This record gives sequence, structure tokens and C-alpha cells, in this order.
Amino acid sequence: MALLEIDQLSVRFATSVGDVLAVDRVSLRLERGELLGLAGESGCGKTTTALALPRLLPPTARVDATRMALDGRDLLALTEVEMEDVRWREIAVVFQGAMNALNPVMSISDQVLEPIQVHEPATSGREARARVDHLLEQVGIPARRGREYPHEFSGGMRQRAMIAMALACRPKLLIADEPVTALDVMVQAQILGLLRGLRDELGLGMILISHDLSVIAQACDRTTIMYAGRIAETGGVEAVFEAPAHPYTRALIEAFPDITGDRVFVDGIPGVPPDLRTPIVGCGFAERCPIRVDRCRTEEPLLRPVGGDHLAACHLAEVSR
Amino acid sequence: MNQPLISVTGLRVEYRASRSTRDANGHPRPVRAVDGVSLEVHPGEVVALVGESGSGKTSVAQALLRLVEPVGGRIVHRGRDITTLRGRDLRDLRRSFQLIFQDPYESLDPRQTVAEIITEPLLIHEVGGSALEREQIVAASLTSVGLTPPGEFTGRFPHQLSGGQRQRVSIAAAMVLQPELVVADEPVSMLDVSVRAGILKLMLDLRAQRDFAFLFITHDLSLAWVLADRIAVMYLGRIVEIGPSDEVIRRPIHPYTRALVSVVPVPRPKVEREQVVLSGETPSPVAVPTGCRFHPRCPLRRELGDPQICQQVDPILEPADATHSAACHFPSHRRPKEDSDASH
Repeated sequence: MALLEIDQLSVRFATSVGDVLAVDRVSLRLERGELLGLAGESGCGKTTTALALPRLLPPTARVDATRMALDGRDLLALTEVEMEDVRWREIAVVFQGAMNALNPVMSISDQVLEPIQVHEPATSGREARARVDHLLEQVGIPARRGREYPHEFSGGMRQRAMIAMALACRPKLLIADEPVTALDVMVQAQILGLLRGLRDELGLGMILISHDLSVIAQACDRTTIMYAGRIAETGGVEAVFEAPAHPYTRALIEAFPDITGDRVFVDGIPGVPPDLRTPIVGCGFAERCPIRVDRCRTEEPLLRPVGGDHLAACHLAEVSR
Repeated sequence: MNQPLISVTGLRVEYRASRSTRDANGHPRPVRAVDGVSLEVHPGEVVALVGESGSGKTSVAQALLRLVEPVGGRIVHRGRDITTLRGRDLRDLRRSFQLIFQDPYESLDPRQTVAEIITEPLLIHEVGGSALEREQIVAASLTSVGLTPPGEFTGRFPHQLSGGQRQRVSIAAAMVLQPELVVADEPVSMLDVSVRAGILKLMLDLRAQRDFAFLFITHDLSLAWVLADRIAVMYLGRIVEIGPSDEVIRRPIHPYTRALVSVVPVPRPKVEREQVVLSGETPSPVAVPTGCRFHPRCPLRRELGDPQICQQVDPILEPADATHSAACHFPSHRRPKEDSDASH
């Protein structure tokens, strides 16, 4: 049984200008010890998909799914009180930019301690303190520096503290939203190495959300590329990056320079994503697609295998051997 | 080579530090943001200034545009010393130097229409005799940045534009005075990838048509590589390596550049390369290490058995060949002929 199973997840936001379908029938699987990269550009629905799991979406969101289960436990059936128990202890989230939202007047240790005190009140003070020290060391912060305050920490160290906090209640699933986006490249490499190490050490399932396909390629085992609320392509990173089957994936990969390859400068993808207030007819990428055919405008391409567990939602995707 | 468009020598920029950074005698220690940078930009050239946050790259650009006062060094524009230029002369100079900012959401005045944004520099520098003439210039400049038909954009406010369109408006406003030098500080880091490439392409196309020089400030080494003729890598207020883009990426000399290149993420999961992940972080520019400022983090120094010179002597930029220089005491050590691992 997979650690995480999502079937047919849709999320609608009620806005003053009508309903926006931000996530459209998304299904995902995640195994224990697996690092899944959820990728795509702003507005593609990647963060909304992930935050629907611990019910962290704003109240204007309407979530539908046929199944959402973590470790066999049905997340849809939980009451709000039960869900509170799931957050931190089962599913922990490192929010985008959260390293800039640490409490400035609380020491790092105390902030890592807080989720333990709140969610595991039975833990003794001494035991909790010892766990905090261990967590800090685990993410590469010398325990003595736990006495310091956020302003004494660099961006990379604050992100490490956020990761320690997320791990405080030993979750099974860690969702990290753009965890390296504002960091320098050397610090990025350090944090990605840390996340992979923790995944191995703790056997965590991890969802890494990023707009940066090169980060996904370097850090993840599998990837799911989203476009306009739908999954465009999903599979092992090697399959998806070496033989992308969806024209959007191909164009997006090409938009990232590859210093190990040829020095070429590629154009962006002309056009803009569709307005999600009006239902998409056919393929959401059709208007921007260089290889579209008439059928793409009328008939929705469903995700289908193009080789093993590599799937793509494109009428023209070819099955590779 | 021809006379450089702009040349800086020994540039130093300091900022007054806060209370917490006093020395033993209670005197405030300055933050040395730029600590002896020399750089030339030639007409029509694209130079990328690459570095991590705090490396001083933005301060170099600001000093060059005379937006901050350098505490040392000289800035020469076409043979004329402009280090201390003031008043009218400085204003005239600014016509030839333009700046494009990182965030098109913040750099445009939300109360001005697109036409007003682009007309403003014309009015300040008294270009375009009549209102009609200025209207024509605005229309032409919108067309040149791909906002067509221009009539559809002139009346719009920034909030009615997408991020990419806003950045195009900033570019149009920067280009309308036909500058000689455009400094772009992380011009695409706020944009989505599919939009980003279009904006960069536009800047390169404009450069090709109008032959202005382009100083591109970025933390993104791979973008610098595809965009620039030359790359200067900065570390803690200094240029540690400079050379033709392909040389710096394929055959980096300085151990810092080598490490940076090795960790730049690439969109290929299987690529085999040895990553040199430096531990720790760049030290504070309030307390620059002795000798080579990179020595505490340098993997090459450790490999060489910790030579004394690295902690004692500050290395200067020395040419490895006619176009490629680095500030390292052991530059050749890592440059034997088998050094082709970076290219494939």
C-alpha cells in the first residue's frame, strides 16, 4: 500500500468573479521513502493540491476527491479535531517563505519545541528538550545555536530550523513548498542534500513543490508536472527528463539552461495559461502548443502510459519502448 | 581593444554598520560591500556580474551608476573620470546609463499609465520637441519591446498588465533615451520560466539592434552563461574570476567558481558530475578573513595541505590567458589538460 493515495482531487475557489477550478481531478501516489517533485508554473495548482491534504486551504476552497488516504487512513472521513491530530504528527508542511516568518522574539529551540508541547503534551520537558537538540543536529544546526534568535541566523540556517520544526512530531509525510527558492545556489545544494538525507534516514515520504525543474531533476525520484490545474505528465525523473512526452514538459525543460550541455538560448513559451474561471474544453495547453491538432481543442487528453509508470496527458504522446 | 565604455578601478563601497559591529575600541566597523573591484565594459558588450547574496554585485552596479558614493577607486566613462561628477553633468550622464530593476511590480508607479511611465524620462531629459513627437516615440518604443499594437497598452495602468508585460514596460522606459549602458539587476528572477526566456531574448535583440552595453547582475550562473559575453564572479566584495562566459563555466580556474559551477542545478537527473558542496556560508563583510578571503571555505587549500600563503597573502586577479583571470594563489594547479570533465 502506498503511503499516500489521492484519487480525483478537485479544488474550486469561490471568488467575486466566479468559481476558479484550481485543481482538476488530480490523482497521485507516493511511497514511503520517496521524494516526489510537484512542478509547474504559478497558478498551475501544485501548492493547492498539496495543501488540500492537511486541509490547509482557505475557507473559500471547495475540495472534492474520491479518495485521500495517508498510510491507509482515510483523510476525507476525519473530523476537524482528528485532522488537527494529523497535522504535524502525520503530515508536516514547510511553507513557502516561512523561514522569514519565524517568531523574532523566540529562540530557535523554543520554536522547534512548540509543536512537541502542543501536539504531544505527554512528553516530559526534559525529553522534549533532548529531542529538540537532536533535531537541530539532524538538520545541521549545532544544538548550542538553538539559544539564538532568528535574526542571528542566515537564510539557509533559518530554512534548516523550519525543517527541524516540521520534523518535530515525527511525521510520515513532509510537504516542502519551494524550500530553496530564495536561497543562494550553494545553500540550495546544502538544503536539497539535507532533505534527501532525511528522506533516507527517516524513510519519510516527501513532496517537494518547485517551479524550478532543474531543482526537481537533481533532488527528486519522481515528478508530476502540472498545467492549468491538471497533471500534464508524471513519472520517474529520468524518464520524464530524458524523454518528456508532453509538449509542455518539453518546452519547460528547454527553458532552463543546462551548463553541462550546449550553450543555446531558447525562447519562452508564447501565450498565457488559460483562464480557470471558464471550464477548459479539450487540452488546457492547446492554445500554446506547437504541435496541436484539431482534436486537442475539443477532446480532453487523459493521462495514459507512455512507458511503465510514465504517464502523459497528450493525444500525440508516443509510447516509448 | 577599443576604449572601454566604462572602466572602474579599485572600486570600494562601504556602508556604515549598525551598533552591533563595533571593533575592540568601540569604533563602528564599516561593512565593506565592495572591496577593490576593477572591471571594464566595452561598447556593445554583455557582462554578467554573478555572485551570491552579499557578494557586492548590486553595490558595484549602484556605484557605477553613481547611485551610491564609492569610498575609493575611479570610474571612467569614455576616458572621462566620472567618480565625483555632480549636478548637471551627472544628470546628463544618467541619460546614457539606465537601470532595470528586479521586481516589475514595485518599480513601476501604480498611478501612472504606460504612456506616462515611458514619457517621463523624455520630459526629464527634454527629448522630443512636441507632445505629438513624444507620442510617436512612446508608440515606437512599445512596439520595440513587443507590446503591440501600442495603442492597446498606452492607457493601461501597471495593475492591468501581466508580470512579463510590466517588465517589458520597464525595458521600454529604460531604452527610450537610447542609453549606452543598461544595468539590469536580476531582471527576470520574479518571472515565470516560460515568460523569462522571452524577456531575456528581447533584451538581447535590443542590444543587437542598438549596440548598447549590458551589465547583467544575477545570482544565476546558468543564465549568465547563456546571456553574457563575459562573466565576472564575485565573492565577498571582490571579483575572484573573470573571463569569456564559456571559459568560466567550462574551465573555471578559481576554486570558488569551480564549486559554484558544480552545484548549479541542471534539468537533467542523470548527468554525472562531482558536486563540490561548500560547507558553511559566506562570512560577513564586516569581518573579512585574512589573506585570501575564500580560504576558510576553500576545498583546494585543504587538498594542498593548507599552504600558509592562503591565510597570509591576499591574491590579486592574475591573467591565466589573454582573456581569463582569477584571484587564486594556485590557479594552475587545477588546470591540467585532462580538465575536460566540466564539458562532458
